[in-house]
Amino acid sequence: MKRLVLLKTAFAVATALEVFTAFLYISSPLLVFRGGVEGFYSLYTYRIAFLEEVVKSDVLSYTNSMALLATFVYASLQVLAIAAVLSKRLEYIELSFGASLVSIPYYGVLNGLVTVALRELARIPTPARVVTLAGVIEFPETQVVRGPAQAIATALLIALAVKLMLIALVLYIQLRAVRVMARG
Amino acid sequence: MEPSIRVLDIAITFGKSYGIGDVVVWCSTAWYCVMHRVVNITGEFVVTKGDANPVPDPPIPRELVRGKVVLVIPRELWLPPLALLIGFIIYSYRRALMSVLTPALIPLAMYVTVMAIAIALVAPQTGFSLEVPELHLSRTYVEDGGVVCIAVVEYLAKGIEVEQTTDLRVFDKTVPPLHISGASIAFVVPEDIAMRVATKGLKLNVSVEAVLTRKGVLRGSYQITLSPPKPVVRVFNGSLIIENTSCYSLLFNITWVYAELGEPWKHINTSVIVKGGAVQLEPPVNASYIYADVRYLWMGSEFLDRLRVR
Repeated sequence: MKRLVLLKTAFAVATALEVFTAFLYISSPLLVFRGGVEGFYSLYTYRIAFLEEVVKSDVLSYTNSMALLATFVYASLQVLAIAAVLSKRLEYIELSFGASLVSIPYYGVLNGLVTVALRELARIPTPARVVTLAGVIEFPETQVVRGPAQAIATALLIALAVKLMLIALVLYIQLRAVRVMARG
Repeated sequence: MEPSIRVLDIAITFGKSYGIGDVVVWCSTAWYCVMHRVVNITGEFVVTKGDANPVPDPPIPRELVRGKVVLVIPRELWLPPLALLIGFIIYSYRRALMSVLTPALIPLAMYVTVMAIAIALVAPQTGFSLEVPELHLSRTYVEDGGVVCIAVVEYLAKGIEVEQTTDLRVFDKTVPPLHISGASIAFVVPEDIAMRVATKGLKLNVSVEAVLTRKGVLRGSYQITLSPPKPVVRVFNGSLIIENTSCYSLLFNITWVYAELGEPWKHINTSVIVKGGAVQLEPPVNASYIYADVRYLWMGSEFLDRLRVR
C-alpha cells in the first residue's frame, strides 16, 4: 500500500512537472532569426521583422492560438488526472489513466502545429542579393538559430514517458489488488 | 523510391560496397536519412536520385552512406500478419481492455473533440505574402543649369529607399551628393570632368554605393549620355563673340591673323574657356585686315571657324 501511495505521489509530481514543461515549451522560442529577418517564433507568440518591417501571418497566429488552447485543455485534464489518482476512490484510477493518455495526442498536436509553423516560416524570403538595372542590392544574410524549445521538447517527452510508466504501474498494482480482493 | 520501394515497405541494408544502380541509405543527420539510387560516384562523392524524382540529389560525401539495400519486404507480406496478430491480442484481452479503456477513453475523447472543433472553426485564411524590396533604375540625366551641371540618377523604388550615399564617383573622382531623396541622387558634375566629356563626347560614368532603407546596400554603375548644345562663334561690330550657353566648359583657341595694306600677315594666338554664356573678344591689335581662326573640340570632333573681323 505504501508503495502505491509513493507511486501515486511520484505520478502527481511527474504530471505537475510535465505541465510546467509544456508551458515552458510553448513559451520558449522555437526559432530565432538574426540578420535580414529578425525576431523569433514560439508556440505562444511570435515577432518577426522582415527587413525591418514587422510582419504578421494568420497561419502563425493560428498555431499560437491552437497551441495555447491545446495546452490549457491538456493542463486541465492533467489536474483532473492528479486529483483522480490522489482520490481515495479506487475506480477513478482509470479516469486518471485516460487523462494521462491525453499527453500523447497533445504532443502530436504540438508537433503538427510546429510543422505548420515551420512551413509558414519557410515562406519568408531571405534575399541576400537582388540584381536590377539599378545595380546590385545586397541585404544582410539571415541566420536561423534553434531556440531552447528543442531541448525543452525532449524534457517534455521524458516527463511524458515517466508519467505514463508510473500511471501504468499504479493501474497495474491497483487492478491486481482489486482482483485479489474480489477473489477473497 | 516508388515504385521500386513503396511507403511501408521494409528495406534491409547491409555492407557498404555499392555501385551505380544500387539503392543506398545515406543520413545527413542522426534523424534525417534518405533511401535513393546511386547514379554517379566521383572520388569521395556520391550522387543519388529517387526513382520518381526528376532531378538527382546534390552530391554527398561517401562517408554519409550507411549501407546498401539488400532486401525489400513488400508491405503486402508483413502488414496482414501484423494486423492479424494485433487483432488476436486485442480479442484475447478484450474484457480487461474494455474495463480499463472505457472510462479511460472519456478524457481522450473530450480532448480530441475540443481540438477537432477548434481546428475546424479557426482555420487560417492567409499566410505570408512578402515581397522582396527592389530598386530599379528609372532614368539618368544631366540638368544643364548654365553655370553648373547637375547629374541626376532617378530610381523606381518598390518598398525601399535611398538613405545616403557612401561612395559616389564620376570617372573615379569622388563627388559629394547635392541632394538625396528616397528615389533619386543628384550631384554636381566637376568642371574638369564636364569639360572633358563635352570635348571628347564621352558618356558620364557614374558609380554609386548607397545605404538603403531596410538594411539594403546598393552598388550600381551607370552611364549618362550628354547632349550639350553646339557653341556659336560670330562677329558683331568688329568683335568676336563666342557663345557657349551650356554648363560644359569648352576651350577655344583663337588665332588672330592681321595685316596692314601691302604688309605680310601676322599672327597672335590666344585661348579662352567659355561656359554658361557668351564672351566678347576684341582684336588684340588695331589693323586694317583682321581674321579670327577659332578652333575648338566639341563632342569628339574638331571645329574650325574662320571669321572676318575687319
